[in-house]
Amino acid sequence: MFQKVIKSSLYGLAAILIAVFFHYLGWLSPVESAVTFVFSPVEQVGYHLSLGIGDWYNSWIKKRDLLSENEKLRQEAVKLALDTARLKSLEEENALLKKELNFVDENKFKYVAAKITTGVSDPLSQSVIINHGAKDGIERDLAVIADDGVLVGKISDVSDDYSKVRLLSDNQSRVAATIENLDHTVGLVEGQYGLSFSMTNIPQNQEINSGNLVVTSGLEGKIPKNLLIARVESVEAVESEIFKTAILRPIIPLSTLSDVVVIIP
Amino acid sequence: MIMKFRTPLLILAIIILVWLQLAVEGSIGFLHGRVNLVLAALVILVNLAPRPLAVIFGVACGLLLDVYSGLPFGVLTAVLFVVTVIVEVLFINFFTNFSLYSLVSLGVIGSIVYNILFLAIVALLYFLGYFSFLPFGDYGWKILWQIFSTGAIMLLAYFAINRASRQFKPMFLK
Repeated sequence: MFQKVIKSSLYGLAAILIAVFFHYLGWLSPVESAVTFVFSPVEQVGYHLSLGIGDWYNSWIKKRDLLSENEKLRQEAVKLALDTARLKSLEEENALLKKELNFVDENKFKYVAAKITTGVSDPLSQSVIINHGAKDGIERDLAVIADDGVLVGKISDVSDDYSKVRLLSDNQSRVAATIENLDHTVGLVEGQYGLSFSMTNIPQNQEINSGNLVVTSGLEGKIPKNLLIARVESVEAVESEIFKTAILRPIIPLSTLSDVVVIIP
Repeated sequence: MIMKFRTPLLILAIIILVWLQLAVEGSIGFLHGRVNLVLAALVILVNLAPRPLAVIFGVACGLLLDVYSGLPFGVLTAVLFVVTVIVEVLFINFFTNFSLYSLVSLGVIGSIVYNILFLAIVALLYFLGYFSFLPFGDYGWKILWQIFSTGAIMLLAYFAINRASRQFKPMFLK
């Protein structure tokens, strides 16, 4: 019995080594593309089903806090109504959001509209798989926006018929960004353990306020300038350190995406 | 009858399980990283199926999952393969009596081994420069959840299979 296990294990090991070797030579990519192509409709059903379950769970959890949150929002609304000084910045925000809404058309960028077929299979990544790949002109590191013009991630891996999109909340995600404040502070938006994201490498002398918008800086060749990323929620500054960090709040929830647009500059 | 359709059934089971696993991981919500259906099925298969089938299942599922993985290709296959071998060795030598505690123990041990191996490979990739972070904080809770959920799936699977078939009837020495 034990020998049988050893024998089957050796065969299994050989199969893995051959598969990994063939994968890195690229010989497996037609098979991988065929697999994703054939299963993509079924995966889409599963993905949307799980999103539905997730939504139901979240709404159920949120119900508990609904009353207190509602009260808090009322107070915030009163404050906002009284704070006329903020009116100007809100108007600017509104103008920027409107600009982002028609971003693709206004800027005449080439783009590929794609559907998210599924998430990824490992627990560490915050990525999704879309149904377009190299055949449609998609390359690594291109910007991926949600259909209302907000950057949601970057292309991390491309195959002929599908691509992997690393979402902004992924720990390995890095995007060069600018804060829409007086100094136009430049920094790096990084994912935070799949939960949220923050902007790092901000010099201590820069003035950043909660509510400031964060957009792409255009320093990365494949990502256009002024794509909306997030809003500043709070700022963490330690006097003894050279840089401070801004905690960002996503404009749209990254967990409920279904359609995205890949911008080809 | 089942033997005749063993291969198509195995392929179908692999596809359905990988699909379900992707749907669970893809939700990116509460279940992300907290449930491992493929691992649970693998442990059940070690208990029920003739010998090479679990290894074939583990390798095939691993390869399919690797196509959809954000990690370097081969990581999930290697982890699933080693877990299969370890669970098989444990099953043959220590957990042979098809009892509830044997199945739950194998599930829990399999889940612990899976996560240790997974973290070890990720750490190795990190130090070799192929991966840019080490999982901390929230991931520890995910591991605990995964161990718990695998044990719970084993529990449910035991009673379901025990009631529905002649499998999992405990054998104790008299």
